[in-house]
Amino acid sequence: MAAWGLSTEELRTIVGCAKRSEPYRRLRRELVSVCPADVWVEEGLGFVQFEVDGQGVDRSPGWIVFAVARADGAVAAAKAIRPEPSGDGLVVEDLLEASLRR
Amino acid sequence: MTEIDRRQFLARTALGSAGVIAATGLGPLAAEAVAAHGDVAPGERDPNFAEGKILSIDGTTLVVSSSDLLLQRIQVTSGTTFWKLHETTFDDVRVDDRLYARGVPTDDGTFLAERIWVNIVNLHVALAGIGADRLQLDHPGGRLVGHVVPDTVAVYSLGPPTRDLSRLRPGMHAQVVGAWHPDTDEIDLATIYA
Repeated sequence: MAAWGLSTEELRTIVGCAKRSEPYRRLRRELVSVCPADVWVEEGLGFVQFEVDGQGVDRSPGWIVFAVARADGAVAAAKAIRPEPSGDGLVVEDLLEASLRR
Repeated sequence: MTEIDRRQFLARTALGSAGVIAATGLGPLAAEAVAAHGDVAPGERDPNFAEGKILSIDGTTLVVSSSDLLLQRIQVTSGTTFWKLHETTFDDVRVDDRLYARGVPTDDGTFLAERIWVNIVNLHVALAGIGADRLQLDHPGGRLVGHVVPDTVAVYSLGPPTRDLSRLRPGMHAQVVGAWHPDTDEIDLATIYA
């Protein structure tokens, strides 16, 4: 068993596929650490959470969450979640959609 | 918020649509939910404790995001005391600083702070190198730089604090209390317990 109670193979699939995605590469310089803050599975999906600090890009610190299909490693969803500076709410950005627009 | 709540929230958000989630729609993320808790069960949040990174400072209100997604407004009062390497005042608090606070939650979810520690760290390290104005510190999380500042004192074998750091040696294990330079691997050293 590896970290977060998942097998090495499962971690490799979930985290590796998230890290090979375009959104991850695009936001990598904003990450607090390349090590995920959390990894867990729910039914057919694995989830990977990273922290971003927005350093140097004038954006709020927040979190990125990837949903990865456990069967084939396809990235099913990727969202950035950033608190509004006022603290009144959280802004959710669809990173896959942003990738398609690029 | 428990780990399961946090994961459920993140999973739901990842699979949902883009947009803005109002704080009032965050359910257990909202400070009110935390404030409503009575006795603290194992693993639950202590309602008299707050922590996180300062997102903004509006007058005497700090908006803080905690490590588990909780957004919290922390109200500073005339009675709030501050530590940032040493006893200090609200004027020394900056956006992007990280804080720990003790205080009292109010009915509207604001946290009235009695005591705030800014950027405080308390680490077990090995002394890897000793210079005139800095120490190289080995920590499981990586190599750190500890800056010796005018306030730095050493406590040898639980004796009285002293400004004499000459008894420190490379290879010694020590506990250091200090203040982070946010988002760096550097610390201003307050006390070195050797």
